[in-house]
Amino acid sequence: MISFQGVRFTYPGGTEPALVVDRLTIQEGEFCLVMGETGTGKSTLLRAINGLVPHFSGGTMAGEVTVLGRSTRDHRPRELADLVGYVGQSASAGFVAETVEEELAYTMENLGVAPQAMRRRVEEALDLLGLSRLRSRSVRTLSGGEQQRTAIASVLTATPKVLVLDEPTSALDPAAAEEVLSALARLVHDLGLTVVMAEHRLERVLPFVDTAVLLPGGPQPPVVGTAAQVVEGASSVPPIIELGRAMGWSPPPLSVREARRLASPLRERLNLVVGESKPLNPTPWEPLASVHHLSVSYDRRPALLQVSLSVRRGEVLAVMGRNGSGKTTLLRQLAGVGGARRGEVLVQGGSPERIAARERIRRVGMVPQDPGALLYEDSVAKECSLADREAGLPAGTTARLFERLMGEKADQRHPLDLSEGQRLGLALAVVLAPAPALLLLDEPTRGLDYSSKARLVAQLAELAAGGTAIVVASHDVEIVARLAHRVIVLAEGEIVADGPAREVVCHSPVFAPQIAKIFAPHALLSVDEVTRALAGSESR
Amino acid sequence: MMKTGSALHPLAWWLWATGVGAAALQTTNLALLLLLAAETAYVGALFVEGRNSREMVGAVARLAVFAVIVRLVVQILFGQRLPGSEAFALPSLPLPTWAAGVSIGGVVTWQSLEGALEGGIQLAVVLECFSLANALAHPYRLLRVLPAVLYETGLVVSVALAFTPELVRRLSDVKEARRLRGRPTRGVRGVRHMAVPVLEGGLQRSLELAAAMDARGFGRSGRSDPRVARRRTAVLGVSMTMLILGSLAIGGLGAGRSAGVAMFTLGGLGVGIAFREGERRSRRTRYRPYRFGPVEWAVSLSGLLASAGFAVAAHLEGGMRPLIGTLALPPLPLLALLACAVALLPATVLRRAGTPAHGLESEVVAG
Repeated sequence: MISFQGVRFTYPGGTEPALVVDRLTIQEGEFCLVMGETGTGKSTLLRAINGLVPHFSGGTMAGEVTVLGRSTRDHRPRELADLVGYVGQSASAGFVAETVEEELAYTMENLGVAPQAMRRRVEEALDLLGLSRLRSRSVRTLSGGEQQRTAIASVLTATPKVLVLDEPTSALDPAAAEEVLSALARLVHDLGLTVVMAEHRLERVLPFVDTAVLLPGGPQPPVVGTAAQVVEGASSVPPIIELGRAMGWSPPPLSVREARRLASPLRERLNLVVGESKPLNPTPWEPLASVHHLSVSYDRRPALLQVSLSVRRGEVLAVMGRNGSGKTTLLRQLAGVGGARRGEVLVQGGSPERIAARERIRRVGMVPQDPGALLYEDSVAKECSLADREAGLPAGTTARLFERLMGEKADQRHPLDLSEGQRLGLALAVVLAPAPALLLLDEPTRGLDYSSKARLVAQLAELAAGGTAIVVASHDVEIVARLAHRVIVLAEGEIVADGPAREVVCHSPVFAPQIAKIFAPHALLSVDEVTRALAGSESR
Repeated sequence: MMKTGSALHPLAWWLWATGVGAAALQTTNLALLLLLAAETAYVGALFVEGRNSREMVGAVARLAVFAVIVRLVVQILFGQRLPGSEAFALPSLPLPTWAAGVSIGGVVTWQSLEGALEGGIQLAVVLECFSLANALAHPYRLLRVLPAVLYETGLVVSVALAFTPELVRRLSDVKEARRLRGRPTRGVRGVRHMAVPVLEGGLQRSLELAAAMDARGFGRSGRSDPRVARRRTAVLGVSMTMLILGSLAIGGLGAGRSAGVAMFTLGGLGVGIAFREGERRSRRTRYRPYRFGPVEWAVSLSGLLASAGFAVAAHLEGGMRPLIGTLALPPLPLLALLACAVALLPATVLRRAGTPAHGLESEVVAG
């Protein structure tokens, strides 16, 4: 179906090839996952399938990529549009039309499909992806999951043989991600479509895929095989695979269901275990920040309703909930940039928006969803020295912090050339340099690979141990399980659950991490806890 | 089933708005102008859907009010000193003789205020009409009815229009991020530092859109022979110019009327041929093309009739341009009032925003 032969691609101005694939074949009807750390060329590989690389990106390419016999060498992306459907990283950025229905027809209009057939295919695509109720909605007003499904439907109408998706679920909450993935699985099973997809959140996608391609980065050849084989050899993996390794299961289980079956004797061996709760730095009960009866609305639509909570020193509080449930609004209010509200927000006894800017950045720091928005200068070094000046810190403070966080020098690289993880690190360094007492993070793990996530977790745990209070809004259940002391769940702007992390996540079917699902009813969150509990049960 | 306002053929709304706007330009009768302003506002309230569109219409309405106020202030400070009864007097600045016709301060008469108010409201009604047409017929919908020759040009415009709200969103993100770092969002330095990330974000997004469009087959058809395309563009350009020059001549600006008519006809013919050729050669197809049905005819004719009614009234009846300075309540010309009523036709032939398609039936079933 798809074949790569002797492909070496270098971006314009690059010295090292961004992608080296000597031989790779993807068979018809496969659901193939492309995995690898950030910057190993996942997007480049995907874009090479329909010729966006090199036709759109520029650069030099040796070798050949063919799709069903058509070579991208002499077919431009538009000439492959009837064969390969491509959905980029940000689905909404690719929308051309006004309504969902017109968006679905756009590709077919370009291909010159007859009006009768267009009409039929639009209806079919609407049904396949469950969009029929949204058909006349404006594409700008859709939620993240709906946008992603619309983008998929809009390339499907051209009846392609191959669907290429770049991180389709990275911006979605767990429920919406599930929706998109099960739609994809249906397409593979019912229509025999070949799907090639890059994704960081392996724990979400592994149960669905057949094969995997692991890009190790640099000149090493990609590892290709069944998903279980490839994942077994990968360096950073989701908890379910870690568990498989720890228990010596080979091949490792890919879905919670498989793992539960394998773990059933283990569950029986344990008496009902509740893992210990995370130690909280033993400071006196002293709320660092608190919110009382906070209500915020945008255009008379409530975003937060009568929310009250407090955060103490050294505590990591995770805020979970669907997209649009008010998580970001809450963080913005705590940071003092949220605008009009009713109710009270106090950070160290003062209303954050009333505090002078210089003083405020010492009390509360926030990293927004797009950390790049915090950065303006054209090099890492300049950005760091600017942060020093703005906060009135001795020169070099931010640069040293960046080096300690990321293990690399604050040099002349442009912030736009950094990977997601490095950009987040730089934004964190800038925000943390004035040593704020309260740190707010909005979806910090979006687009991060497992090693960057592990580093982030370690850094945040260290900060919390040092007494910084951290509030993190996240969809990433695994991160929350590893990091948070306490979890609140927001729904439609109201707090619907508030309690110790273990209790809240283990009792939720949506927010429970994989290990908790595998070992329910035991309330265990991580592989470490499992091994400890098993060792304990043996010694008794 | 009745059509909603936004399901109408986009040209219908543009014709209606042009008609009502043209009507407003034909009268200085304050009562009629206010009536037209109220009508456009009412139609907007009935049919504009979606929060963004409503916000935009609201913003333009505020802009219109602002325009009226600016017009009044300018009149008070620098306006022509019309004779009449004095409202109040400002201290005046003597100007040299070469600046005759311009004055600063002085006696302000009720009459001059009235004139300014009328001019301002005229402008406000025209503004309102166009914002309404824009809100009811999204630029992308307008693009879909453009002839194939203009498709690519139209696409550039419509993508740019859709892109503006994105830039605004990006700007507010960046502003917020600056406040998070405790930095100024105003002043020269603030603007310089914000422009870079906003434009970078904008560029990034346009590249993503371009890649998505390429991957979805944009530009695949209609590129058969560049020579044919170039010839077609040339014919189109020349014909368009002739059309414009011809209509100017007919309107009485420039040379002879009959030459104008000839040019206009030739130009029209040329444009028609270019459009037809383009349509024939284009391999693009259209999904559910909008139909110009009876409802569309009704809406566009109601606007055009209103304008025609005002034009006829201006010839036949008094009261369309009441003399400034009488200060009496102007008489209401019957024909113009009728035209105003006709312009309200969309309110009766269209389904209002936010009501269910089969409202009555389902109520009956539920009852």
